[in-house]
Amino acid sequence: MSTILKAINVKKSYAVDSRKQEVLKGVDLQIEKGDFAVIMGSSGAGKSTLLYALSGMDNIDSGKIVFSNCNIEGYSADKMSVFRRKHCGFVFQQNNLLDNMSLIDNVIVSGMLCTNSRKEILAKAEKLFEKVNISKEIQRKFPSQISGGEAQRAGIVRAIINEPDVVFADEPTGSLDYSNGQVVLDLLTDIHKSGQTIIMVTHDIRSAFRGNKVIFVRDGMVGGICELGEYDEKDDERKEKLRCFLEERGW
Amino acid sequence: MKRILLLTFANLRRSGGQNAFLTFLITLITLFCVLSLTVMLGFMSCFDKAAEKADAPEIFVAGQNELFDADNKNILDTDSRVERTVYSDVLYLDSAQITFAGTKKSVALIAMPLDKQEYKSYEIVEEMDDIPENAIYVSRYFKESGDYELGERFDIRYDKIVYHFVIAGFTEDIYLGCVHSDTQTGVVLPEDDYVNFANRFSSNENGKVADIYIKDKEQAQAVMSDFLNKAETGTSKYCSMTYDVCRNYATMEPSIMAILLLSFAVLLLIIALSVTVYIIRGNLVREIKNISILKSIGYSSNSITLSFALQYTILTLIGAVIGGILSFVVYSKIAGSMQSLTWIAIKTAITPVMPVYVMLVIMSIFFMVSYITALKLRKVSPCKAFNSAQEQVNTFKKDVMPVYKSRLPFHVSMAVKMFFGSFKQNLMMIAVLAIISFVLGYVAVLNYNISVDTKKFVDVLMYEYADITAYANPTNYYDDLDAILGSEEGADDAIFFETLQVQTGNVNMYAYVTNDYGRTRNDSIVYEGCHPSAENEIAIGGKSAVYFNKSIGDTISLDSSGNKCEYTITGLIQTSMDNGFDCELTTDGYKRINPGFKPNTVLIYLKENVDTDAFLDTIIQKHQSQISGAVNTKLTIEQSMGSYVSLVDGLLISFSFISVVIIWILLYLLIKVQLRRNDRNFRIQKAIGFTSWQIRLEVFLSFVPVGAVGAVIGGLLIFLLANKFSNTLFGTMGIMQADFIISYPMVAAILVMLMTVTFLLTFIITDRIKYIVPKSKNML
Ligand SMILES: Nc1ncnc2c1ncn2[C@@H]1O[C@H](COP(=O)(O)OP(=O)(O)OP(=O)(O)O)[C@@H](O)[C@H]1O
Ligand SMILES: [Mg+2]
Repeated sequence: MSTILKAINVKKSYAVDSRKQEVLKGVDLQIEKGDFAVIMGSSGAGKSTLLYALSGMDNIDSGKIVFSNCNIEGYSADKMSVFRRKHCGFVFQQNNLLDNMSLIDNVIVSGMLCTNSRKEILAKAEKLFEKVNISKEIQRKFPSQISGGEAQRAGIVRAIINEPDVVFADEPTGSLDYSNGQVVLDLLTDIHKSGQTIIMVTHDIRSAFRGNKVIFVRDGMVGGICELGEYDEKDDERKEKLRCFLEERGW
Repeated sequence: MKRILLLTFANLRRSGGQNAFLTFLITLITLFCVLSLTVMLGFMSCFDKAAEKADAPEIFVAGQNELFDADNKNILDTDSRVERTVYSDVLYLDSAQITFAGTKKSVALIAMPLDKQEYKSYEIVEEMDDIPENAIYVSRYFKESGDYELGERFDIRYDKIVYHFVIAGFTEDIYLGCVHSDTQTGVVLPEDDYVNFANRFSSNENGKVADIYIKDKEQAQAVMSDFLNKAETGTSKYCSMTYDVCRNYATMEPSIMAILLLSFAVLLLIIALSVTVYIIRGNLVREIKNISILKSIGYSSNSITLSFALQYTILTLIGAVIGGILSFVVYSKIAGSMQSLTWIAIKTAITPVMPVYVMLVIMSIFFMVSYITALKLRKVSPCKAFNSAQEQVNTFKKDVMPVYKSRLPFHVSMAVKMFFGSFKQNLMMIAVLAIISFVLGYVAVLNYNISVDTKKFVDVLMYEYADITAYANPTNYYDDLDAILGSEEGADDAIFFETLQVQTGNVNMYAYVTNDYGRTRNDSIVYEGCHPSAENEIAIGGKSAVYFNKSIGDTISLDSSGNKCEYTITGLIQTSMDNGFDCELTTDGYKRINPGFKPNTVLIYLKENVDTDAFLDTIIQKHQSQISGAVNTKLTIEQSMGSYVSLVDGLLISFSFISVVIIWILLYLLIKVQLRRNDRNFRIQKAIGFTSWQIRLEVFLSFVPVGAVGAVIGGLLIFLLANKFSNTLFGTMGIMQADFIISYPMVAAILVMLMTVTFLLTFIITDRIKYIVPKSKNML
């Protein structure tokens, strides 16, 4: 196993009305290739901030982030964009599709950033849509015309179209009901099984079970890591282990 | 209401730049409206007041004594519509020549003794302390616009004799202040001087002024026509005018300025309204979350809509108040130059009612437009507050040019998507750009015609003119004087061209008379049909054609010296000189009503690059016995156009300056709104790996059709409408078809320039895209 993403002493603070609030106070962590890492923690702990930092969506104050052997912390915004299109996929909490295009175009637009062959990308997209159970008819719809579950599944297709090194997901089930949430989680588990590295932020224990590793964030630092092993629905020991891990940290 | 105001002010605080721009536009609109309306209405009402104070009659008739014999007087006395008629004895010098602002004008000169007759409507407004010999009092118009000062020499040329006077004072008078070529002009002499002056003429020049007061103002034209119809006018010369016509003459030039200003204000209003609609639509998208939240906590659609509308009404109020205050300041500065354009001291100020009135009208327009635009937010459902927060008001349904099918390069197809994504906004922007290009182009066309290639403009304003005008010596008359002068070294051609007076029915008309219209040079005069070529043919002024209800092919009868003849109309002409009441005849044609006629005036056209002054000196010396005088017409025209041109020029320069400033701010705002509308999509694009440059390229490409189509439509409008627009503007002056030169390269250059500005600006402004960060609390 090789390390795909490594954070060393990452610090980040926000200035609000000239008052500085330190959100990340020196985060160290390491994600291996093929991990399904779950980030948990109480509200306001800095989970989203950490995710932005790791995925290069936001710059950090100090520290180092090594992503696929690149030191991305010093990248300019545009260099970061180019980096993201190849190495990162994103699934957001809410439907974050471009509202002026159909679902298929949303995926194509992302895909066209990495290749010039529209045909190739189209074929790939259609295969992936089939996999997430979105029919041709729905693919031609606009984001305003589809359900939240469909939007999230389309978002996943967009996230993996360029075969990124890491898929980042911030509460991907946050705005979905239970059964739709399960479908999305099943999908993520599926792509994880086929070798995709995933980093997911969640509040929900049942979502967290899906990961093989849970990183607890507290007070801007990593407050513990729980190695769970591969997900197995019937494995109660795994559930217990995570419950204890979280209880110890005041969850 | 309190709640609504709360929302309104919260909204207002947010978009400072846009608000400032709208306020600025509304300030200009109010300013221009108040100024132009004040000039248009104020000048008229001020003229009315002056007339009332002077107790001016509704009808003014002046003429030689014959016109007022007992029989004719009786017509007026027995007319039940006439209240009373006041007669004053005067000297009536028909076609006397005076110089006004460097131009020779032929007027019916009426001279009267100071304080010694019934006619008392003039008032002396300025006077020398010591009255000199040969003193004369003339209208203050001579001072304001005619380049005369107290103590200066004033010459009257009548029947080949020049009479010298010294200006001892200026008067103000409703009817006699007028100094237009085809009207009367009055002068006042101290009693002794008057008697001396009168003694130099035969009884033929003795005349009267009749002030006819009538009961019903509306009847003025009818009463005047009836009198002149019934009266035995014989060969007597006279002139007549109703009060309304007089007032039109007096306020014509300021009115044209005012109309120009008002049309500009209307264009600005259209732009301001489009921008408002555009901004509100942009804001609705941005505010959708807030709106849905407000709705979910119980605000009604109506109060939110109202708060939007109120926001713009408040801006309008601020702009209008500033504009209103500014108008007082600006007016005090320009009042002087405006007033010099008429002969009554216009003491009008802006009435406080005017800005208030303009303000109310503009405010209600803005309230209505912004309210209707904001009505769209009714569609926002409160549940949007809780689920997917970023729904658009414009939910996209039709897939125009889907990317997955598109054969275009990737970024071009993205741009196409963006273009159609804001299709309505883009249409509006195209419209605004088209208006701006039209205004700029039109301003340029006017500027070009007035300052650069002035021939067309002068042609449209003048009748036939040449480089030099020479007058035949009646005591040593040569029938072929035109040929003699035309064969001079340097002369290209010379023709007899006379301006005479004829009558049709009871209406006076100027008649231009020459042998062969094929040799005249002003191609702008005939705007429909052709010049007369046979002796029974005539071309008449467009305005008189309308007045007499005649068209080409009809016949019209003219009389002069008691002879009456029929002519067939071959064409319609336009000149600004006589308010459209004029006609063209051939020399033989005119001889039918005046057989003894001998042409007297020779127009000499010079070859190119011939020194006009040198030529003038040569012919005056060489042909001393044959000509009584000659003038450099080109110079005279230049001088007389000068003040007018500089006024229009100044106006145009300030217009273009304002236009350019507006374009810059406007584009800045519109593009900013466009960026804001797409803010969320740009963030997502950045998140999935678009660089700033790629997004910038897309925005830029999506603006290319907007800028190009806007400019092209503007260009088309210039070609289609520029001259129609001019006709409306100059129509009051009798110009029916101003075929101004529209220089293709110039218009093309303007459009290219405008497009370049649009693209450059788009490029510069889209730089802010680099500040859009992919992450945002809103998104994740
Ligand atoms: N753009 C910002 N400007 C200022 N402060 C911010 C900003 N984003 C986050 N913060 C602050 O940083 C802290 C951490 O925020 P973050 O969004 O990372 O929390 P989180 O762990 O994701 O919480 P949640 O579980 O509620 O999503 C919070 O206290 C928040 O107020
Ligand atoms: Mg979060």
